[in-house]
Amino acid sequence: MTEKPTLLKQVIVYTLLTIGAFMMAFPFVWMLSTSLKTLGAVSQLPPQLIPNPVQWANYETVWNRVDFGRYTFNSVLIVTIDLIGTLVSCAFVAFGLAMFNFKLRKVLYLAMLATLMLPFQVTLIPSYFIWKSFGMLNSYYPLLIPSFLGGAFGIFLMHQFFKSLPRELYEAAVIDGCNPLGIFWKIYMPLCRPALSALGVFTFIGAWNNTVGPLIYLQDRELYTLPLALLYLKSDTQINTALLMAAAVIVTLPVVAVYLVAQKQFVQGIASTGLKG
Amino acid sequence: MHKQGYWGYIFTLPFIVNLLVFVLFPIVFSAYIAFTQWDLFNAPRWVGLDNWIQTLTDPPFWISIRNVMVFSLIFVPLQTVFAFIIAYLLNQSIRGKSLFRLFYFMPVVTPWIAGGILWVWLYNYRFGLINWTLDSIGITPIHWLDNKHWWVVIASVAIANVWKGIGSSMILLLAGMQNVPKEMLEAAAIDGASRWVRLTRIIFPLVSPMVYMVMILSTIASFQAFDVFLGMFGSITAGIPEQHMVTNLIIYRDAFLFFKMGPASAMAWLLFVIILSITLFQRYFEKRWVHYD
Amino acid sequence: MKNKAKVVMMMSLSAVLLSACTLSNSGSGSAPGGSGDGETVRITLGLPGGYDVTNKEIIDGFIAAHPNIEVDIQEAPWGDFTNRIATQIAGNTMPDLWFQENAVILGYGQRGVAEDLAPYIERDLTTDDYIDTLFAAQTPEGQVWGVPHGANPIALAYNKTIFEEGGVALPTDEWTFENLIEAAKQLTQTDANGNTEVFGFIGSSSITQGWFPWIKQAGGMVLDETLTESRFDDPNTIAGLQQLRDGIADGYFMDGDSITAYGGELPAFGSGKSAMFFLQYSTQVTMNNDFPDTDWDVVKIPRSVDGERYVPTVSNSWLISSRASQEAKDASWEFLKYYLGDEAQAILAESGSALPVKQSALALLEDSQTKPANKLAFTDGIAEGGVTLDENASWNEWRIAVQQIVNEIVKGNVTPEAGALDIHKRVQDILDSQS
Repeated sequence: MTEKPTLLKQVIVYTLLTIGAFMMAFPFVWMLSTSLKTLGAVSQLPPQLIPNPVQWANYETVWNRVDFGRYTFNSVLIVTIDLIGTLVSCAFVAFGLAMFNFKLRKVLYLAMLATLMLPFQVTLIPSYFIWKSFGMLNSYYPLLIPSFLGGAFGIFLMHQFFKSLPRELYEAAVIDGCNPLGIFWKIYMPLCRPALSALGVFTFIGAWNNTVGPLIYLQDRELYTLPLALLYLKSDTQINTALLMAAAVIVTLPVVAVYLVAQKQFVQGIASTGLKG
Repeated sequence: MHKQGYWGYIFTLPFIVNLLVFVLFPIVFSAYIAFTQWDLFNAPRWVGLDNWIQTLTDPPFWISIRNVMVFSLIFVPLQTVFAFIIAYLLNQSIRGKSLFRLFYFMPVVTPWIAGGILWVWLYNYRFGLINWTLDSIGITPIHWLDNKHWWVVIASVAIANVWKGIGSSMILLLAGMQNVPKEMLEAAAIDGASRWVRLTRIIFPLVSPMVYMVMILSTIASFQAFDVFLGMFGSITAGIPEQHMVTNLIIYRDAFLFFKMGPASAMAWLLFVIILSITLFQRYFEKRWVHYD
Repeated sequence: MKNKAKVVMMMSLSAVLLSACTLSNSGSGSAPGGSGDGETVRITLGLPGGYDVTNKEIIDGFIAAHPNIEVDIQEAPWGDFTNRIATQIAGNTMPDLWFQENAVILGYGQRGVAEDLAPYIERDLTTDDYIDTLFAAQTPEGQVWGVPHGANPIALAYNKTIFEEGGVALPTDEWTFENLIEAAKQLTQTDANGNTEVFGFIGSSSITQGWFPWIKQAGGMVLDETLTESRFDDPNTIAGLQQLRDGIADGYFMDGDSITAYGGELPAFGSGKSAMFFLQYSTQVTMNNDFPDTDWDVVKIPRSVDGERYVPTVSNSWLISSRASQEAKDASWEFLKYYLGDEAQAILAESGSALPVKQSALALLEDSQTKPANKLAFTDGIAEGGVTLDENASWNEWRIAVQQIVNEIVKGNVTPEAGALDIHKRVQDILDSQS
């Protein structure tokens, strides 16, 4: 920006941003602090923010209670494949919807929106029938295959993003002799890094925290994923709040890490790649 | 928009397959079940319009629709406006913006297992932080989650959901703002356009497709509110008062706890029709303010 | 246009066919084992809540004793087991044998999901060896849809330290609810600002520890003996709810806000914020783990106004799928016989997670060294006055309807009279729609 806002304005903005940030992050901080408390400290009123004494043993206890290693491996496997499938297929389909004029375009666009609106409560059982008829129960296929066929949310996101890119870009590429596949892969994909990384974050969170799918489709405990471990602990009568929060922190930290990596990406768009409209 | 229509089919083929294989059957099936009595075990028994009539004349259903509507009216504007402001500010060259972005995103990753406990405590009438603050500045404490007026309760839940949802919308809008060419803003600044003019005339129009999407998605999500209500009220079996129930909770309860898939499906379809009409209504106004380049 | 219509028709047709196939396929989820001798049977066993030590020990013991039966274990977290089992039932892929809340089992029985175990019990068990809870899943018509995984009665837990400091005589088995209320008043301590530091009793709004015992002790009833008529219009029922509400309104029973602030009912009692509490048997494990230093014990639930004793008892029950093959049913019954046998029941007794239903195993508890010392409060209590929570096939439905309004009564948003009449109408509607 060329001109600097006045100092007063800056102070106001910073103060508001800081208060907001504190309010937003407070529950997470509380979760972190509770995970390090002794049980007596948990039910203390008013609650103390900084645990004293710090109870690192909580982490050891939950870590030993659940086979976190195994579940983390499973979750990482599923999430990685899901991510690849979702990013490519959603961008691919959205490109078609955003760039070309064809008869079914409107129908598909509406169908995409409509699939977002169907409550899972009534589609869960018929979907189960489908996977049963494919003989794919108790495997990862029901969790993986759909991600390669374009999910509504991702298509919507990428569609809106493609639509907001300058139209001349496409014309120029055609003149340069590129075919649509080439244009998609070589020109548009690199450009939508911000949107792709945002979609990546959402896909990661969605797949990482998915409990309904794994619960319904997986039967062997060896196949279970990380958030199921959290559900197990939640239903364990011998677990207390401090231990539950320690487990929640273990499950949550990878998401924070992924977000930090992705964050650098989705703020580097056209503006920094040097391309102009 | 380009004329080579067959390319459109090539690109959208995966999604067409998805619709035919994984979406069509669940839709047809649940529509069929909505006309039957089905306990998930014995064969479905055709009952014609019974489930539909029963649902449409059921006061709790309409209470739940009223609740999601009010929930949505509070949640969608608050979350969209705040997310836009935050995204705009965090897209400026300010110190520590990565840290701010992380903090504002934290609620998205904080599970309701933790978030729920904390919000319930914040809202606690006698020991909550909010009422403690009010009390210390001389305002009478308020019953938040157990108010006699249903709308106070729904509004309290909606605000907890704004906390949870702002981070997602912020990311989408931030991603959208990366498409605004810096040169365009600099040129406008040199021409003497104020910050406000640049924001409303250049940035907002260019980001409007993303704003539109954020609104559509949060509208749909608020009509399907589920997790946030469980986070605030515990479980369905804990007896969430009828005045505070939302439609998806009733659908879930009827289908999976009461094994009444027929009425649950009819209710789900009615909810679907309501969401669809509202989305189409939003789409009708889309042309007035959303700018596709 | 014509083509389009054709395509749509074809697709809908295939969809309906697919659904028809799924729904009419009534084969069993389990196939007989394929090993050479042809005698091995494979059963699938659904375990909600995780493979805890009790279950593991018992199942391992069973497998060791029955080499001809292979056991596949399917687990799911407790609260989410419902989703999964409902989907599996719909898809005909349910386990041969699993356990859930007793009331849910009664619903399964009505729908035909559960095998009637009455003939099996009659053939193989000496019912005198068991307490009445063995028949928690029996219908008035005599079918038995399941057998208990364990019984979970409540007793009156009290904090000795608070009683001694307050100079109040410790509770006895001869107490009535009047004694409880009086003691609660005496034991409640407030600080200089009028904030309550210690409550006399925890005013739970839940069914087992709250409204059900309070209604019963006042001489009221929830449902009638046939479990088909609501009794929420009974003046005694209303009186019971009134007493619960009064305790909270007058400040000697802990209110919901305080319970939430202390992290729940058990932590509130465990950390000494309340002198008394209706403690469920299974939660003694948590008490001992999390609050080892609290000096507490239990006595039987106080007597009701008519001198009777009602000990609300929750149980989870095992059921056998009616769609399992006959071999799988027989093998599953073998497992249940083993589960109800001395060895397995003793393991259950030792775990403390539920009371065994076999007398011989109950007797073992007398030697138990863990807190509470007076385990007779549970074992004698259940023998003397163990009652289910008026469970029938529509229990889940009417219980939630009651709970929604009781929550409002307990908070004081609705008066007990008005609330009870509202409940009465709703519960009766639900009961009527079942028949």
